Amino acid sequence: MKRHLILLLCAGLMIAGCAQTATDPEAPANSIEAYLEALVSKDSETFNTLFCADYESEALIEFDSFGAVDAELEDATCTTGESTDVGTIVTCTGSIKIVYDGETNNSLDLSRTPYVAVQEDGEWKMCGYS
Amino acid sequence: MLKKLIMVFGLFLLIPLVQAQDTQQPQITYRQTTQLANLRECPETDCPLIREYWANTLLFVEAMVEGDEYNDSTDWVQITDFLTRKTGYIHTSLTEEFEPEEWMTAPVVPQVTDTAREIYQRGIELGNRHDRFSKVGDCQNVSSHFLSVFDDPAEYALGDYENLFTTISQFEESWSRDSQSVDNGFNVASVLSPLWSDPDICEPGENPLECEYRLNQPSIVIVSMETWWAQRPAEEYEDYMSQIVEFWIDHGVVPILSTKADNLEGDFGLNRAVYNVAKKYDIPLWNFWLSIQSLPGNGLSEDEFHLTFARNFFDDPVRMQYSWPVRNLTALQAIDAVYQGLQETTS
Repeated sequence: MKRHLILLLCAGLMIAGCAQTATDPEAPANSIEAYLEALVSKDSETFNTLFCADYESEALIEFDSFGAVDAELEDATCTTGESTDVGTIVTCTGSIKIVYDGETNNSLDLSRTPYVAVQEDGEWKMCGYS
Repeated sequence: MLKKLIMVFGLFLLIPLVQAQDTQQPQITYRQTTQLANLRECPETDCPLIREYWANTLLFVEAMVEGDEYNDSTDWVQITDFLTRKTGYIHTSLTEEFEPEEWMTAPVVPQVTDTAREIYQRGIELGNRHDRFSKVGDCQNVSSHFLSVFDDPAEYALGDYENLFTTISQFEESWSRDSQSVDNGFNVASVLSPLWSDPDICEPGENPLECEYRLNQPSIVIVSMETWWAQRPAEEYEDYMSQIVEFWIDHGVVPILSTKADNLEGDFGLNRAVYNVAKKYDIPLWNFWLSIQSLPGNGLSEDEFHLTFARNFFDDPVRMQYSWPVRNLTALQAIDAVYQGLQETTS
């Protein structure tokens, strides 16, 4: 009886977890923020888990493009928008500060193009730009 | 009569021999300087100086000749100076045998192949501008330092290179134009990513290459990328460089690839990669690395990456000991050679 109760509890927790991932309105926005953070910190292990399969080649180019610079997020905030045929639209504000050769060289505006997040294998992932 | 016939026949036999001798190139062997060495106009210690060569300068030896005795030897090497195109002599005791890698021996100024002519012709038919070129690159290609002086006659002197003025006029305004595919911190991947294009100028989704092509529609593009991730293989750089080259070839634009001055990666892997890509696609290679080997410190600052700076007065031998004027001069020579070569009919 006790064993059944524990199993039931675990199943309940798992369902609740899945339901939260699926319904948390901030999950798409959080996935884009995590993608951007891994990108600028050059954390390839984490980065490789944060994009969808269809966006893999473009994502890897984005990652490699930071090879010659140091970068950090500045006031980056993302917001989940509407759901579309291609995925959930996410808009961000703030920028990526680029430091090259010890000097701030440039900043990339995060609000220039909305992002697309999709759910894949139960996780929200970056899947390109809208 | 028979004697005359034999003579005529003999002449016919001789003609191919003479022709073969005319076209025969000197057998090149390779050496490098072991210390500061003087390149002189003749193999004598009091002959006029052409230039000084710093240690570790790669020498393309055309012949060994007898000359003044120095260090118990009368042997001198005969070479052609890359910059002045003058034949000169260095005493052998200041040099040693050297086996260069294949990429090191590529000429500074490229020759144009039929492949490049075909790309160019296709591009002109597509509407590419025969009077425009573009630049793709990083900090060593920004217009404050690279090529822009040729749009401002007060900022350069050609000296013995007056013949290059035609090409300067041909590409007027391309020299100083700010390319959308050049910026500090760019690498071979950045120019393929829309993330790095200027949102005020480029259209959504365009990467810096696509943006630059749409805005300028050049017929020639000079590509020079100096950096890659420290712990990552040069093969990845080579793959991205191939993608850049394929983009331009697809649009009928002739790429000129450039070797780089530094060897921060330690094994010249990136220069070897650039050479491989140029060879694979049969496109022009500007061997900038070779052009600065004779300069003090091999043309590099103390950080062994940045180029030594002087203004672009090619008639001033002191300034020509710094790498920025040599970079600009040899880039101009490369563009000139490629442009002139592209005007020739495909064989």
